[in-house]
Amino acid sequence: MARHIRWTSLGVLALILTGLMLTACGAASTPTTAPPPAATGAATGAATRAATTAVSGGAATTTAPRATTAAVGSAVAGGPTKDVKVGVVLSLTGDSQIYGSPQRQAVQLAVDEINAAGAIPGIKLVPAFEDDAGTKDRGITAFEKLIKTDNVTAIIGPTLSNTAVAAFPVAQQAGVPSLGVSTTANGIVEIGDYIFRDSLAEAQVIPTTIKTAKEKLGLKKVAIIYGIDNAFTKAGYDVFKKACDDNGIQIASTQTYTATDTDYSAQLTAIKGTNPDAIIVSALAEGANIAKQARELGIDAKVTIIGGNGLNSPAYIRNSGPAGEGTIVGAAWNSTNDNAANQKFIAAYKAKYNADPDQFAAQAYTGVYILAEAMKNAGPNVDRKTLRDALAGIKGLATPLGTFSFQADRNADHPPVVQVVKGGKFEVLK
Amino acid sequence: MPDINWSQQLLNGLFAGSAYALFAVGYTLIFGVLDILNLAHQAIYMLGAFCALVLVTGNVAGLGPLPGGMQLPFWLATLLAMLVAGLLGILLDRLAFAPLRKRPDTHFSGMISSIAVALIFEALATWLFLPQRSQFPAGTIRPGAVTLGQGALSYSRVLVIVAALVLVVLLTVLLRFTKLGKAIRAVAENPKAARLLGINVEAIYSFSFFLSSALGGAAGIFYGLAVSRLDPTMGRSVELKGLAVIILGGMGSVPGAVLGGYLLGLTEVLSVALTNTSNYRDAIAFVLLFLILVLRPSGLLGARRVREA
Amino acid sequence: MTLLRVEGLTRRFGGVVAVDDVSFTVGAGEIVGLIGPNGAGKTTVINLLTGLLRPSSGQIEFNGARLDSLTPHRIARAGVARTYQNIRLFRGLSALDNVIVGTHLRTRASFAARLAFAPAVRREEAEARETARALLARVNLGQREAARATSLPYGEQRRLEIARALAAQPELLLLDEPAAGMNPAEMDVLIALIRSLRDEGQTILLIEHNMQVVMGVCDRIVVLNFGRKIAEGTPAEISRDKDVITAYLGEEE
Repeated sequence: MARHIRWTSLGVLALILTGLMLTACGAASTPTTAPPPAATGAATGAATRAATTAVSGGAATTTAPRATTAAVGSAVAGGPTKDVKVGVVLSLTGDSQIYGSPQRQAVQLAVDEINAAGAIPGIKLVPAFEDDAGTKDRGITAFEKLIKTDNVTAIIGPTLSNTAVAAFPVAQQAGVPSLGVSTTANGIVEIGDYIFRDSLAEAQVIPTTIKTAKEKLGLKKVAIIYGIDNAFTKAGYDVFKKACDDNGIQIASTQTYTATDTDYSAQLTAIKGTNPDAIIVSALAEGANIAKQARELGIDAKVTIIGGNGLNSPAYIRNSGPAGEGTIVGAAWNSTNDNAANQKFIAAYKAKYNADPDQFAAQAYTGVYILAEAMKNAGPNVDRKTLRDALAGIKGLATPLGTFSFQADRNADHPPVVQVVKGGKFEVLK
Repeated sequence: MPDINWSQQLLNGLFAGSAYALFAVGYTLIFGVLDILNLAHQAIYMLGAFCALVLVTGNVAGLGPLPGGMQLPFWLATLLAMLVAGLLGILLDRLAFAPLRKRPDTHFSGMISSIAVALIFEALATWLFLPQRSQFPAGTIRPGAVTLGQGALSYSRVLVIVAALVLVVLLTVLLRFTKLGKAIRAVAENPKAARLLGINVEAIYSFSFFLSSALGGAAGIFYGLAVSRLDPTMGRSVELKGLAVIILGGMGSVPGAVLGGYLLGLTEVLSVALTNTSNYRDAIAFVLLFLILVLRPSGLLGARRVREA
Repeated sequence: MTLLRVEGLTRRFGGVVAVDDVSFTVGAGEIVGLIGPNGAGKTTVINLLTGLLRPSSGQIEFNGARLDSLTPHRIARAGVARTYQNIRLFRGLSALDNVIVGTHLRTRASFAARLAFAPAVRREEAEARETARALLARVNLGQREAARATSLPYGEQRRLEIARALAAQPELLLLDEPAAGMNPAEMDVLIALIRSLRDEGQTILLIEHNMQVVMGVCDRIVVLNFGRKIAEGTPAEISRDKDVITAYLGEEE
């Protein structure tokens, strides 16, 4: 009898342990274990790439052929290169991977281009990707690992503002310059002088969005729905509210939801009852569901949906389907931006990934180039402090986002664009 | 007090209530028959939904397309997924509950063991379907809505309500009018006496798990379709609510679970309608549960049960 | 012919010997009474016979096959049915449903066929219903078929239990104190019922305290005291047996 009990207890314990192990395995994302191809300075990797570029002649370099040996040896513009590690913290799993995935691809593309062209004299960029799964805890852990264990010189990311407000203080304290490429809430760069971002804040984009929407649509009365427990969606609400007040638009109803909600019909019903001209949705991935459920409730297509940066993703269009047609979203970037850097970026991204880039990709790509420019200015012996100072001085850089500069407060400085979803694509609102 | 569109909010509540009722009915059945809380019910709810998704899209997100590029129409995928969910329930019984049945603390140890299986199921789902949200492809169900007076319901939500009603009625007919159903009820009351009458109690247990899990899987499928969202953690949000519903309705009572489900669904929707936020929704729902339990400790339709050994 | 043979049946609970080397037989068509003062071990014997307990030693033979190592389910299948001292009806079910559940053993459709509601199953269910109705009528409860088991008066619940036990068409029916708590009127009805069952050839082993019932229906009586058999014989013999009288001295019934 005692033996019987012992086996059963062991069995139950085994079950629990198996479950916990599988959960841990599932959560450990492959990106952290699988090294990004060719950019990490593995000897053979560099050799093959050097060989192919020599054969195809397609690389952007015209200088001396690249050496084939490991970290030390690449002869670029007459000198050995140093590996400079840059941490990249993105939401590679979870709901926000719809933003993090294109970001990762864009960063990889930029790094490959920069290293291939030897654009930073004496320096080879080595990205170290970490997945924050869209949560604060994982973000902090990722930052600490990159700073203390991997000794990175700078960090790009994280994807969400919600994560950034928790993780950036870690970087600020350690004196590691960090560049947000999609963080648009308020209170980000205020964390400290080592924190930068190339993503226009909601506070910079939304006022233009509302003003333009009012001009084109004649808005008088709107309703707002936003997520009450996320820093980004809440900050978005604050800016939208102020913009409406500034433009004399009446807010007929304000509704909130929480991150665990899946059914928004109660809130949307209340909104429908106020007969607004437009519904402002400050949301992340759930924005598509909100749009869908709104239309299902009978909220007519005449009632425009206006969104913050969370809706600025092809995933929104894909997931909302016909319900998303006509949505107005302010943006920092649109594919029709006709500057040379943008054309080059779009072509290269399409060629490499067989997909169109979105704003998240554009800003991430630009982020790498901004870092590269700063490293160039700081010189091959760049360290965390000199890189920070160099970043602060970036002005008039040609990027897919347009001519880019940092403001004195380390926010991005370039004009936003207002988009509308037409025919399943983001077009500029005319 | 804000101007409320009562008929619409009623429809919203009916939808939410149907989802809760369908989930809770299976949950309470197992409690009724085996006197045990199956905490893996929510994981099967989730797996049933994903099974249907895989059959409809012909693709497993973390692995790749199904062999032969098979894609099934929704109704067929649902039936098959419900069958799979039912079988998973039997597997769950074999893994988590059956080995512990002879122990004196079986109600408790079985419950703990089901938590372990739930973890395993969730990890399996995260690996197979990736830790992100998915949805049924557009056009799985007719787009558009049905208008009823001042309110509208999308076809997918109507489907949830209809499916819940149909399945609950079928279950009730089974339990009330067939010999098998009477045998299940007999075992629920007194497994020893039932055994002495020649009823194969273990087979009844397995079948009860099959029924309960098939219903739970159905709940996942229809709800996931209606809110356009499936993900490996979707069971977590109904887990606690489901428990509240069966406690509210009286543990072990199928009509109680239905009543409790609709009551909770309506309360939740109305609380959001009145406060403009879903922040207090859970708090209000649990306060309601608390009040009802104070007045009627055994739940709305629960009898004070003395389980006979 | 002997239907049930009990030999050297013994059951210990720790240091207590509840049943001590008991042997007796029950012939086909007989009503055998098992009596004794409180705590004599009668219910333990019945629990051993129906498989709820395993004997510490001894044998139980039924229709030539060994019963003492079988599970209750198998024993029921073999043709042994019982009623309980404390009524164990399914309280949430109606009277008719209780009896229908009792027919479970005598049905043949497979599980899968049941699920499909195959026509054979529907026929069988209708038959079960009819059988149950007939049995209810047999125990004079025909009018009460829809009543919930808990709502029936005590005496009727007892008869319902007997009906349910009969539904399995048992070769041996074990009645565990069926007259307990009954008033004289109910007891008369019970006695008449048991007699009529015997007249139809039903073999019965009856545990009972009430001497009026025992003397009135039993063909033979086995007397236990402190777990041991102290006497066996016809009612007339038993009522004169010195050991029995001594055992019952001071016991009123």
